[in-house]
Amino acid sequence: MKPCPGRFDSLSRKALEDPHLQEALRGIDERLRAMRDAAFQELPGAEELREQARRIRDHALDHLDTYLERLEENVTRLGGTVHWAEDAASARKLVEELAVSRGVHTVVKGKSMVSEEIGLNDELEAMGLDVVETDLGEYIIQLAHEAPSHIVGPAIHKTRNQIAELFRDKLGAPHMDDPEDIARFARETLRKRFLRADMGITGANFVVASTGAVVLFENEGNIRLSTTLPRLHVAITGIEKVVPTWEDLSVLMQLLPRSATGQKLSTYVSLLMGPRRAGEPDGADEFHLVLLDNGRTNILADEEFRESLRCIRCGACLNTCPVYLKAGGHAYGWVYSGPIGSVLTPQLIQDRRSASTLPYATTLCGACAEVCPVKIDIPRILTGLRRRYAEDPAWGPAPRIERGLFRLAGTILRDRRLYEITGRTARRLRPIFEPRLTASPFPPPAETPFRHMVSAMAKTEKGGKGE
Amino acid sequence: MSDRELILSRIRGALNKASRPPSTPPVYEGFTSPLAPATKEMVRMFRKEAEAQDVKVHEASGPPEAGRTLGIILKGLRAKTVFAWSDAVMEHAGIPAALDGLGIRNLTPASGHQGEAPGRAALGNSAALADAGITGADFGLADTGSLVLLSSPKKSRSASLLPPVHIALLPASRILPHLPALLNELPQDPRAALDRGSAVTLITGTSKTADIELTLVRGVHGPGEVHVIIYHSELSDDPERPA
Repeated sequence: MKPCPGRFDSLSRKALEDPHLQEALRGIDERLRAMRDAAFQELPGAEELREQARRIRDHALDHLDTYLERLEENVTRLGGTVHWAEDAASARKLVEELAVSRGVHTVVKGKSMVSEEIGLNDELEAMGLDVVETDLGEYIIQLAHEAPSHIVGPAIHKTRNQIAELFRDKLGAPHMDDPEDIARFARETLRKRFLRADMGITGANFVVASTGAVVLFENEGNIRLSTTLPRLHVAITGIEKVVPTWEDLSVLMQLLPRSATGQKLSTYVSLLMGPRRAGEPDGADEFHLVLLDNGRTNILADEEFRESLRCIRCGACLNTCPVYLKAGGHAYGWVYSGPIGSVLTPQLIQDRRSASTLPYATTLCGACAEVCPVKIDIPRILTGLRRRYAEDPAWGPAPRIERGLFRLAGTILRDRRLYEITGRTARRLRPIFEPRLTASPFPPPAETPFRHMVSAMAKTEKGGKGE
Repeated sequence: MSDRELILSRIRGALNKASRPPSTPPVYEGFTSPLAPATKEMVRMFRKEAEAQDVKVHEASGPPEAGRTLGIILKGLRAKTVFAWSDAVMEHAGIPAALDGLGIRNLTPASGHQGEAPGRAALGNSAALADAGITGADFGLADTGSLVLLSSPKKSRSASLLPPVHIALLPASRILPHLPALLNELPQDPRAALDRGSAVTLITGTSKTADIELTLVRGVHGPGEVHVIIYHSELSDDPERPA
């Protein structure tokens, strides 16, 4: 999808006025977040596990070249093929060429944030392929032509009535009210597509260097269907998703489902090691793994922000963020939303300047860092990004007027006399500009300055003690 | 320059070789389990965790009773057709005979000559039509109530996935304490993996979604009903048991 992160202000304001969205977001807060917290309370040694997960992710990133080469060697030994894509266009082209050369007509997709990131569906549909998202939430937003609003629950912003209406309009479904009926209808519709699909496309939660395994977590079974029934399986993943060994995987496996949904383990975890062996009745005949850079090596080169690449896309930071829980995912303007979206989007998109408001889409309360299973210090990165935008010409300088205003504010705040004069002037001008401030988060100056109130109180106190 | 060379050179440029930390991965010693293998305690814990995930757990004294339990479950479901594994565990538990006795048809297409796989479409369609899928389980995980299924020529991945009900036969001796113990049992390198199946599937509970208003719905793509028959039997002579 095309990023439009510059519109956080207007989009979030619109979100606040959307009663359906606010209702859905309340559900995230009360359910997902609460379940995550309960799951961690029950997990013995949770803190040690998080620390170990951080170490594993850092270690893998510190030796990313070694592990990617090992992964490639091992996937190849298993009979799979590894492709490297330096950007989104290159990745799209790889998948497109595979589809053409293998005579693919129908593609079934498992939920993959990376495929959203590179805008794969539009490309494949433009080729005339029948491409269908099979995760129920992704299927819903594909029908609605919308972007995911949550890393784990992409259609979390929609009510059952909106979904039922969508199914009626787009699929000719009968009137339905019960989520059970809607899900059954989707199961039957999608089952037919699974049975005739030629290609399954999925992401990967992890890839294991030592064994060449692709690891996929899910609750619905659609990813298993996408990797079991079609003759071709293509997994697309960011280069940062590699972990060294099974042992490292077992640490991360304890944390990912608990952080995402509060489950000890997702319903299905698939460890896929290459294509179907001779004689095996099902599984793909061909397995392809696409390793995507698309800006990730830039993050790797940036020592201040490198830890952004530890992210395992659990969504816990979204579920606990007071800003996300009011603004919803679409306000962030691109596929990655919430605190981690504000961290990744400015670093991953071409036009960095357009994302300069995202590091401000936060209260810096630190709740995200507290729940992050790999201990990414999100508030530190957000303040670092603010500095980068303000100071680094490579990030595009702030608009001249903004820079001027901040310099002026800096001068005033450093000088007590200037500060008092400005305050006095602002109070005098208050009746003139106050009516114009209604749409702005900036509060009007108080009638009586706080410091006057304090000195008045101090006087009364002294007087009371009779000194 | 190919994308491969480009990405690798970018990575090497990004990471200053000289200041790189040690190349051995960090070791974690934290996984311990108080449970001794193949004990009643392990079975009890598996049952508790699996039931918490809405799995129906049955226990049988040995393979013959496991077959009878399966018959009772299938009768309860009014199943007319099943899609079943055909490995040694199934034979051992007398499943083919039990199905014959009940007049239930096994839709699993027979393998061709020299173990050649049946047609993809035929297999998918038969599995989707079956009233229940019957499989063994190569391992169980006590602390999560999970089933672990390894694929092989006689063990389809579809059997536990396409039918609306999944029934698994789990030998009590195969219950491991937790996930880290399982990963020790899996092939540690691709050479070992090539001799084994292409897929290891962990199943914990029923297929489910909460994508509509965070309301839990079961059976969205996979089975909405899962039964596990734990049976007590030594299987040390099982040819498919990994060393």
